[in-house]
Amino acid sequence: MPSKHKVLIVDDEQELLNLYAELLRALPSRPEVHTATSGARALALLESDTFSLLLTDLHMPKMDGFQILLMVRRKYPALRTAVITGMADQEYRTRAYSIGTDLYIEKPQSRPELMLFADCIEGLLGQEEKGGFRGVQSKNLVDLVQMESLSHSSSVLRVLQSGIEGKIWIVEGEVVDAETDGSTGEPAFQRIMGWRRGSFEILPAQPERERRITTSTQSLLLDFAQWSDEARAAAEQDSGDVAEGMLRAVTRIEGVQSVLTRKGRGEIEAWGLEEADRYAEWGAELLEAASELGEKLSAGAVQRAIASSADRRMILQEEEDRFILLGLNAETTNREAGVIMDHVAREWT
Amino acid sequence: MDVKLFARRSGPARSFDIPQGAFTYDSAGGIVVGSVPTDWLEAYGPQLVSVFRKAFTSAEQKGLPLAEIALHYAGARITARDLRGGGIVYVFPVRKQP
Repeated sequence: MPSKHKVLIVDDEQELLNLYAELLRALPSRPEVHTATSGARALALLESDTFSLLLTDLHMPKMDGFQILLMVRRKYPALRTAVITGMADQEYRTRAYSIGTDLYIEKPQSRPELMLFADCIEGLLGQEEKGGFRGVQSKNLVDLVQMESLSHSSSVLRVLQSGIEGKIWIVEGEVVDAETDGSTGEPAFQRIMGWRRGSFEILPAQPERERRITTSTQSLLLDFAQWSDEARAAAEQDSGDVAEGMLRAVTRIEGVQSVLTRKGRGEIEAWGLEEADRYAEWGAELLEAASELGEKLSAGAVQRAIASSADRRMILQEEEDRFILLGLNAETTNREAGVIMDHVAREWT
Repeated sequence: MDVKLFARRSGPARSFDIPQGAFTYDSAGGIVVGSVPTDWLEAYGPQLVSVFRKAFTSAEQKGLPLAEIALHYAGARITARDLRGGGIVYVFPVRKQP
C-alpha cells in the first residue's frame, strides 16, 4: 500500500493554516498535513522529513515565500511547490513560476474557489513522483545517457542536485568526460549518476572536450548498475543509523531550527543548516579558545557556549567525543536554550 | 623522586578567584573601564578580550554576525556583548552550595 503524501503548509497566520490543513486532510488522497508559521521552521521540518508538496504564502515576516521557494528549489529540486497568496499581481505570479513553482493560487474567497483549490492540490499530489528528474519525470539519468548514446547524439548534460552542479560530456553517443565538485572523469561520472533527484538541462555539444573517459558508455552504465546495487545495500544498512535518527528527532523539538554535530575534527552531520562546515569550524574554534581561557581563569570546564544574533540563538556543547550545536529561534532565552540542550544531550547519550 | 609541587593541573573550579563585575574594551582591543579589581583585570582582561574579539570577528567572516557570546564554565559565566567593534564583558562567579 503506498504511503501517504506529506504536505507542508507555511503561513504566518495560524487561523489560515488551520483552515488549509483541515481542507487538505479531507482530500481523497488523505495526505498527512504539517504546518509551519515561519520559513525557518519550515526549512527545519523539510530537513527532518520527506514531503511531497510545499504550500507557502508569499507575504511573511523575516523570510518571505520567495526566499523559501528559492532555498527549497536549490536544496530539494524534486519537491513540488505551490504558492497560495492574496497577491494577484502578475509580476509575483511570473516570478514564482520562474523560480520553478508548480502552482500559483490566489487565496480562495468562496466555496467554489475552495473546492477548486482542493482539486488543484489533489492534482499536484497525483503527479508526485518517487524519483526522476524535473522535465523528464519518468526518466532517470541512466535513461538519459542511454537515450543520448543510442541516438549517437552529442551534447553536454548539466545536472543539478542540492546546489551541486555536474556535467557529462557526450560526443557522438560516447561519454567522453564528466566533472563535478572537484572530481573529473569516471569518478565524477559515477558520482553524478548516483544522484536520484535533481534537475538537468541539455547544453550544446562540445566536441573539442578533452577525453578523460575511455571506457565505452555501455561498460560505464554496467559498472554503474553494479555500483548502484552495492550502494543501495549500504544505504539500507545506514538507514538505521542512530545519529541520523537523532538529528531528525531533534529538529522536531519546538524552537529548534537546526542541529549540527561533529566528532572531533571529523565528519559533520547537520540538519537545517546551509554551509554547515562554517558553523562547525566556528564552533570548534570557540570551544578550543574557551577551554584555554577556562584553564587560565581556573573557572573549570566549559559547559556550553551560547551565541546570539538578531535572528537566531545558537547553543554549543561538548558531549563525550562530539560537540552539538543547536540553532534556535531568536526569541528563545538563554535559560530555555539550556533546557533544550540538556534535553537533546540526554537523548543523545 | 621528582615532585612538581606547583605543576599546573586541571582541577575543580576555584571560583573564589573570579570577581563579579564588568569591563569594556574599545575597537582596538584596549580595556577602557571596569568594575572588577584592577589586578585581576590586568592579569586576565587581555586574554578575555582576545578570545571574544576573535570569536566575533571569526563569526562575522564566516557570515554569522553575532551580537552576544556567553561562555558557561563550572565556576563562572562570562558574557561579551559586541558594541560596534568594541564590547562589554560581564563576569559572574558561580558558587556551588555547600
